This record gives sequence, structure tokens and C-alpha cells, in this order.
Amino acid sequence: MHEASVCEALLDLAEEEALKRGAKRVLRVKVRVGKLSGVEPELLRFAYEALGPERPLFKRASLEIDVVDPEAQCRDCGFRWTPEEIYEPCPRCGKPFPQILGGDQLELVSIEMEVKDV
Amino acid sequence: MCKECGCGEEVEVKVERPILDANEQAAQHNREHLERHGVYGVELLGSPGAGKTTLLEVLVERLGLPVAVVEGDIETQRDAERIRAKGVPAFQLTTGGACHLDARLVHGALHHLPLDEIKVLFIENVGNLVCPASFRLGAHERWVLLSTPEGDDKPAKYPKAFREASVLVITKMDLAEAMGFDPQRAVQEALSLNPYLKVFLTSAKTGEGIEQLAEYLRERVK
Repeated sequence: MHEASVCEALLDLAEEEALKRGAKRVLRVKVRVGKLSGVEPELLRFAYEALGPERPLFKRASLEIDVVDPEAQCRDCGFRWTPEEIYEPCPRCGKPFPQILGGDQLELVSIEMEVKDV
Repeated sequence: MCKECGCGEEVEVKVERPILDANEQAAQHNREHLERHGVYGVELLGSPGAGKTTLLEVLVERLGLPVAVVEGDIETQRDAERIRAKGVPAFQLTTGGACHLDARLVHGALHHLPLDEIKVLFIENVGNLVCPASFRLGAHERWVLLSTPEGDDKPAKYPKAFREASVLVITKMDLAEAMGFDPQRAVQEALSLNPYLKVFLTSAKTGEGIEQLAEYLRERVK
């Protein structure tokens, strides 16, 4: 399970970005996780619930995960669809082994936070 | 500022940065470090027992180029000792429990190896087809190993490892028939995830495919 390492990296990055913008406390962290990113969203959440509260800025910050599907494209007829399973054949012509596109995202999208008074 | 209670202003700021940005930067630093010494880096990724160290043992003999090896394991010096027995400099990284190497760990190893005397640095990751796939180390390419006893249905089960590699080495081909392993199926499934994969069918035992793999690497290093 490498989600703990990924979560530490996420908190480091979010902390850096939040402090740069004068955060007093972080309310919500939004991330984008592709289904083929190799990161399991539930394990990331599990790690976040353990590691987030250890950092003062993130004591009560929630995590929002936007899970992104990959796309499949048939190599024969060009049909594009969102596959349930990445090995499924083309639903239109039956050709196996479509090209799998996208779904690799692992990004910090945005941070909701309370900023210090100017 | 909020007038009722004096709390700070709430804002949402866009960041849009890769979560593993810090590792990516460390990997880029490793790449530059290798290039300053004229070294070509190759990372090996695969399950425990896929045959990563065994492939290195036969490949370093065949390659005819000066090489060094970074070995990644959770514990023990065993793999580095196997490589040193071939007369090849090796540095063992032990992660002490972590399931993958990262670029920062590998950077530490670079300072223990005679980079000016070698042409190729192999970095053998911790045996694991899942976790190491997310962390680039700074090698010029990544080879993913799939051994025939693991089964021909693994690419779709572990997509990240196959998507992030440039070479697929199928190992233990001498066992393919006994294991009911269909190389065609494994290769097609892997190519559907990554059309740029170069595929080598190998056996360290019979020597199948080893010369082709060595020749591929010699061409890349030129």
C-alpha cells in the first residue's frame, strides 16, 4: 500500500500551497484520481484520515476525491466508450484489446481555506 | 473578514499540480545526474520472484558494457551480493518496510557507485507490480517484467505498471507451456494499455531472447 506515501506527498504539497496563500486553516482538499493511476481512492482516504489530523493546518480539513474513468477506443471501428473493465472488447464490433486512453490523473485540484485577515 | 465571529475569509484556490510533483522533480534531478556522467539508466519493475535479479545476472554477462546496479528490497543485502558475485558494482537500498523506491532514495545510492566508469545503471525496484509504478526514479526507461507463472492476464490487473514502461520482458519462457501461459494474450493486453511497449520473450535458463534484449540496450546506449 503506497497510498500512505502518496498521502504524505499530497499533504506536503497542499501545505506548501496553502501557506503560500496565507492560510489560517484548510477546510477542504480536492483531488483528482484516475482509475488507472494506481492509487485506490478508498485507501487514499484511509491514509488521509490518519495523517491529515497530524498537521495543524489540516486538523479539520476534509478530502474530496474526483475519480476519473479512462476511455477505450476500438482499433478497428474507432468507437469510443467508457469501459467497465479495461479488457472488454468493443461493444459495437466485438474487436478485443481496444486502445485505453487517459485515467492516469493524480492531481491536487484545489484547496478551500480560511485566510488570515489582510 | 466575517463580521459575526471574526473568523478569516474563506476562499477556494486552484492548484492543479501533480500530487507526486516533488518526486518528479527529484527524478529529473537523478536523470541529470546520470547524464552528467554519461550513464543510461534502466529501471526494472516486477513482482517478487518475477526474475529481475536473475535477468540482470545473465544480461550483464551478455551486454559487454560496464554497468552497475542499484538493488531495492525491503530487507537484506542478498540481491546486491548476487550481482557483486558477477564482478559488477552494486549498491543495496533497503526500504525498511516501504513497498517501493522513490527518487530521493535512489539519489542517495548514486553517490555510492562509480558512475564515471560505467555506461548503464540498472535500478531494480522492490518486488511489487503496484506501488513502484507511481514513483519515477529518473531512469531513462523502465522495463516491466512478467514471468510466465504469474499468468497471462496480469497486464489488465496491474495497468499502471504496463502503461509506464517502455519495455515488457516476459521471463521464464521455458515454463510457458507448463504454466498455460499464452504470450500472445499477455502481449496484446499489454499493448492495449501501452502501444509503445517493446516486447521481449526471454528465459534466463535457456538464454532465449537475452541477446535481443542486450542488443536493444546497446543500441539505446550508443
